[in-house]
Amino acid sequence: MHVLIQGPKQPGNDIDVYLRPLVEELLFLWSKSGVRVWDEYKQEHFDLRALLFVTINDWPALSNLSGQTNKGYNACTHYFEDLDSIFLKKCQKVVYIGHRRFLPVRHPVRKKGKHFKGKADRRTKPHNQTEDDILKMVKDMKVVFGKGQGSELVPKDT
Amino acid sequence: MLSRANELPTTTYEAKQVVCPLGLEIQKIHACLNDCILYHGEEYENLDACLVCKASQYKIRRDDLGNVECEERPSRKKIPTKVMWYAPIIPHLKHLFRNKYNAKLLWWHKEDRKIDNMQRDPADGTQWRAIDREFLEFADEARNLRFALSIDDFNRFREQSSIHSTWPVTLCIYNLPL
Repeated sequence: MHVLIQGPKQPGNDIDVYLRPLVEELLFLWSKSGVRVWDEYKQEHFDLRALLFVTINDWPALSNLSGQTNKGYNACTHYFEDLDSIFLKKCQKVVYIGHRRFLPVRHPVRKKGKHFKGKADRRTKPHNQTEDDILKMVKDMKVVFGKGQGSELVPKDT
Repeated sequence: MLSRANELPTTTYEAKQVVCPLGLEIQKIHACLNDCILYHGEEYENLDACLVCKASQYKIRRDDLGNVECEERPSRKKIPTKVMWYAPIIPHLKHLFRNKYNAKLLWWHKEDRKIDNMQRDPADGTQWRAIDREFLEFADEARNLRFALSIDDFNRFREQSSIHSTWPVTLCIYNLPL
């Protein structure tokens, strides 16, 4: 265990504040020079480097950790706004549609017919966002941590 | 629970006697009550109150007289409102490589691993190989570590319905054999 965050309330989005010392140390380990370490097995000094491979968390914690929303209309943390979602009035919930775009291009289900409102779906699979795209999205964001007023919303381009 | 020749110390005192000489320090970093800042680093270390929400770093006692200096009573120990425990990782890693057996296990994924087309280790995965392809310099040194960061909350003392939640954050090393 490397960090233990005390209660009584869960940190929520402010978990970034608590991860800061850990992130600084990980960045230091990722830098080109690394850390000089003695290896007992090979009997030599070497420069140790390390990277963060994966994160393990449950679904609610994913939203706090990645800083993205994972509920409501744009629930997907990979494709952002490429997702089709509608609100069902009678059921009072959001459902996600448009799964046909993940099928092979000439798949029979993609054709128009009786179902899917009689429409065909010719779209291809959405692309993963690149780092530049994501940076463009979050560049103007002013994040205020804490349980106070909170951050200001970035105005959407019209 | 433990395999043979692995024994848990019976008292906390015994455990401390083993761990303390190793120099694995745990830092207690004070935090703002509302999670705004940590009182850590040059800029924030000497602050008394949070810059964002103006909450005090320490708890205010019921019989506190405020700013009035009382000479009769000696200054009492201040109790922080919120504390984060933090164990620095670099000393841990240095100790890991000091042990001959552990240092060999960190090589394991390159030398002793059975390599066929089966998936049985994170090193067989596509993400591992993608990193190997992208960062050649990093991949050349098999001792370079790959971490997994795992986060979840838990209730203390088996309190099922408790609203108090504590969050541990752990780093696991994926180089080690499973």
